[in-house]
Amino acid sequence: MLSLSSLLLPSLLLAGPCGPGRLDDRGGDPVLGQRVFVEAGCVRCHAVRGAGGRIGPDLGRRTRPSSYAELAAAMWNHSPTMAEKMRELHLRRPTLEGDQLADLISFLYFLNYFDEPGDVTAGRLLFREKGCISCHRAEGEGGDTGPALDGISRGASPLSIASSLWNHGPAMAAAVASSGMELPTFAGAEILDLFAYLRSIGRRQGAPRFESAGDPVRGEELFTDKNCAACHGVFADPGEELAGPDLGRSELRGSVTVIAGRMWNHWPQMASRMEEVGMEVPQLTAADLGDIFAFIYQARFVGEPGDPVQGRTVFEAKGCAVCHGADGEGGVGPALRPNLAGRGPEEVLQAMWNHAPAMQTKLEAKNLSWVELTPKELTDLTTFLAAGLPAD
Amino acid sequence: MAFSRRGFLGAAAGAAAGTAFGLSRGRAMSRLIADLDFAVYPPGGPETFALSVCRECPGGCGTRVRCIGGRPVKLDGNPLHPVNAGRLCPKGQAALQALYHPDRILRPLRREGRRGDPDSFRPADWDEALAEIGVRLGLLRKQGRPEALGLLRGPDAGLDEALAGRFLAAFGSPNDLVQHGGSEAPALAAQASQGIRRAPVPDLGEADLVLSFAGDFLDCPDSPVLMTRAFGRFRRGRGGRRGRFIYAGSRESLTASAADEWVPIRPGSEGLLALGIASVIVAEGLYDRAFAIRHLAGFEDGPDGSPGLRRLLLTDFGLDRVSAATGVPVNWILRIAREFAAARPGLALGPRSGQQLAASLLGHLGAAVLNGLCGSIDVAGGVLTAGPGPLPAWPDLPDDPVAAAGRGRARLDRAAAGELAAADPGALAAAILAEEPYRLEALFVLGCDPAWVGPAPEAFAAAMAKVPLVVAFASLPDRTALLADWILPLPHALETWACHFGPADAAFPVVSLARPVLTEPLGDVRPAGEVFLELARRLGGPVAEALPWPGMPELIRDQIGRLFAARRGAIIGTAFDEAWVRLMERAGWWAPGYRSEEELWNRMLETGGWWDPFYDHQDWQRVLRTESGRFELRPDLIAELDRQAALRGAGRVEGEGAAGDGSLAVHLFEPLALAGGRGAHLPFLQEILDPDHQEKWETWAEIHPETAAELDIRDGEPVEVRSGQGSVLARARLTERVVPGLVALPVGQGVPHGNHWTPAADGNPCALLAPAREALTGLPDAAATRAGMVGRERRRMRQEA
Repeated sequence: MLSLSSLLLPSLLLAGPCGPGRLDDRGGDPVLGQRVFVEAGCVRCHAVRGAGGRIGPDLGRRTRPSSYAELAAAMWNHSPTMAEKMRELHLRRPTLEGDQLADLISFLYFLNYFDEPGDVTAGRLLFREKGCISCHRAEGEGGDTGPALDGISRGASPLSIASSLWNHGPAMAAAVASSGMELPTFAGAEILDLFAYLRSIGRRQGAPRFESAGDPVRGEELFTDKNCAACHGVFADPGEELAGPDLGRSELRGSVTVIAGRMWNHWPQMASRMEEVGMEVPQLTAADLGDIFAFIYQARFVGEPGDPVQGRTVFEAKGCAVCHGADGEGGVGPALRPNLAGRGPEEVLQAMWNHAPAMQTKLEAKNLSWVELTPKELTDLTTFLAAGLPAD
Repeated sequence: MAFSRRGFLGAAAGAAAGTAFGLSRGRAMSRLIADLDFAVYPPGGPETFALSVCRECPGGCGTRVRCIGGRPVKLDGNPLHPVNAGRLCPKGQAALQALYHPDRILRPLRREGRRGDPDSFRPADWDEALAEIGVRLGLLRKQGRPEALGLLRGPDAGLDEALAGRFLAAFGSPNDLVQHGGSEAPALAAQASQGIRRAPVPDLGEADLVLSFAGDFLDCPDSPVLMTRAFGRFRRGRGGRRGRFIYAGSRESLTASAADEWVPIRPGSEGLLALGIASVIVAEGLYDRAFAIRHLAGFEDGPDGSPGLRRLLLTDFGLDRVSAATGVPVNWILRIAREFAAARPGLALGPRSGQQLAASLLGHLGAAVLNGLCGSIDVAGGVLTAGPGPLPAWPDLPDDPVAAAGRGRARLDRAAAGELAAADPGALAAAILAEEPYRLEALFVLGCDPAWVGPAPEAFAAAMAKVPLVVAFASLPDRTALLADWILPLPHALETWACHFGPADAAFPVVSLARPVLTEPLGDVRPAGEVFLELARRLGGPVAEALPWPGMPELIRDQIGRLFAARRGAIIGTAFDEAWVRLMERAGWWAPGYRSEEELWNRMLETGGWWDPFYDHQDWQRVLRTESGRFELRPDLIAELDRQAALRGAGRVEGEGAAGDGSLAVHLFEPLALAGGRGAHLPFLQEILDPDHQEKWETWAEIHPETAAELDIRDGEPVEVRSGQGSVLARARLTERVVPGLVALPVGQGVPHGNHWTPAADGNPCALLAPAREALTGLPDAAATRAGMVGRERRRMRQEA
């Protein structure tokens, strides 16, 4: 499985002047993945948030996968349906080369980091329904307990609004409590709509400032420095007791802003816990927040390492051994060693992807159904094929 | 002029024997061609492709160049380029003829004889040219008169032009003028209504109904391909939703012929018609009330009792008056008003008959009023306002008291004199001739031909004679170049680095980047930017400090670095890439597809450029920069312009049918092939001057058959069109494409002395224009010119009799 340092996230995220550039070539690169998405023809059938073809599902709007393995498994399991549709439309199935599959998967994964544009009209309604207007002024109306929100920059990035929410959290929670109100909570994409509304009514201050995503390396440092690590882990040792959830394993999905909204909902519990242990609320700039999210995203993309022993079990249980030989020496299917041994799991996955049409033909000839794999099974299997096959 | 391949080959072979001095004259064999060490057909070799940028108009389309043996043989559109998406207009296709043109100027030329005589030039080398120009400029600085230097440049938006402007500022002159007559009136209207002096951008592709008041956006836009693509989308590119297009004007132009309905109107009455339609919309309560309440100013009467637009329209622009003045029946006006108000959105366009031909401010204010009343401001399908370019402003100029004092002097054309004073080469010419408020000692002309195409060509030619040093940048000998003291040869777009910043018609910023396709130019030519950098070096001191780049490639590289630092936009790409960038930026994110300056540079060269397709609609603080923060309807201005027009032209609108000598209204237009006054040199374009009606190779005069009958003019007859200012010889075309009482002439045909491929001009239609100006703005009064038309043969016969 990919190591932290081999991850590609910075290549997309650190587009700023100080970016370290591309890391390990084997990691997959979301920037290149975007090009693969277009050049390999994925865009002819699939859209990303409405942009692209309409034959296949919109890959930017389906249930958000939480890791490389989940995306890879989804693609593998989807392979027969896709092949059938492509046959029907007389489309050629793209063969991916080099790091293209890893690049593609990383692109699709990191789509989730970025927010979709919110709905300004819905945001305006939420601002009133959630009671924000009781304390904050916007478009010339509202309370003055909290700061006026129609003076923020029109081009404010989602991260800067999220960091303001975070930093003002304690004061706001106290003010809300003293007025006998409840702190509003946000479900689903409500926070996106609210942000879109606030950005639309903002005052223009120079050219819009678009935010690129954060630096996971710095994010990892901040995770410790800002004391997040005191309560949370990111794929921590299962035996370790954590005061807060493990952010690697949690079901915390969604874009940066959506996660910021969930953090906001969680705020009262978090604040009381911090008070118990005498911890101060760390102040986070927009860049800090972006970097920390980038770190969590990267860690989740990597996921937990595969287990070659379990992979061997999958290899046998799923019937791979029937065609490829018990030790991968080949049979009805091609020999897997020495072809795959020593290659990275993502290369193995790409070989599997390219092999899928031939495999499907043979399975159909034998009246066998497609071999579906869970993300864990796929991770274990590719790890086994990459490292666990016996040497010749 | 007939032109055949055999003739061309013969000419080329004969010319090759000549010697290279001076310029070609008439249709005689060019001696310069001997220097063009390039066979007409390539010798063969491998086929390769390269990307470049078309510079035949301000559009700046991306091109894909097919080369054989390293030599360009065909131009097509770059499919990724956001301006043209793989298409290329005829001007772009003909650009190769400009590259290999036998009359190209291939080395600096110095005038030694009579001004305007092609034989008066002798070749010089760059050192000599730059040394002399540098010394003359240095003297001006020493005398503390930097304001005595002027620059007149065309509407092209390339780095060379921007650098020329920087040079002027660093030198210390306020006289950096852009000749872009077609954009002056819309820019002034935007100044009045939005507080932004920049022509608004029509979002044609998303409109529901387009109502054009003689706005020929398909004939002579800044970017023909961009507008044609937008029109295609408007008509049939939106999943079955076909936009409706109504054109009101006195000539059925190419644009009008693409409309669902052409409404013929009396010449010069576009503004009145627009305001009459607005009057109906107000009277019937069809305007967008919510938009009016939130964003309009000047609709209701002022607190001091001054009339608001509502009262003005209802009292002064009633149906009876407007119908009588425009010739449009009352029920038509009612119908169009209701249709326009019902459209979501409707888009009204003001008059435009050329890139260099001025239009009336009242026409553009009328269109702005309609757009404002119907809420078509800064919405998809309405009028947009292009944002600032992608690059930050130039670095601050160094401290330089001489330059600061010079920049503080009044501009010669008085364009900065008032809120609505127009930039005007005619006014510049008048100031030069009068030596008021000061004498101009040196003038650069770049990317335009003001002595041939413009509001006052003869005055400009006369003015040039009064300027001791006139330097023209040119690649082909136009009239302005022939009147200059020095001609500095420009490279063709395929011979130089290109860094071009998108057309004024686009709401999105685009930066096209390309390296030279031909590694060795065909002559001893230099980009204008290199000339200004070298002059700055020679001047030294703060001027050199302000332009520190060793050459244009280094400057371009520096600019791309600034682009990287701007943290927005993306490499040009597919429709998916475009949608992706829009989506990201709308949500506040930037995911550009490049990670370093180096990668941006390389990817731009691979694809052809960078752009930012995201447009932030309804950003009122950006697009409504008036004192009130609202869209100003300016009833005061409309009333004053209407009053002045009535004073100037009392009776003009009653001229229909009266076709005696001097009674014809004159309508000048730029056909697509000659738009901007460029293209007359190229045979491909001469063949398609008016492809619908097979006009080619000569100037023609369109006249209505009824008017022609009154004047005893026959179709195809050679005629002379004469105004108080000048005359033109043309071929009469009797056509119902023009309203009675009007003569319509194309602008830009011919060159003064002719050349290998182009006939010598039989007069210049621009020279017909009356010198009248709108008092409020200084804009040329397009409707003031009156002319007569006579058949040349019959007049000769009468004279002989």
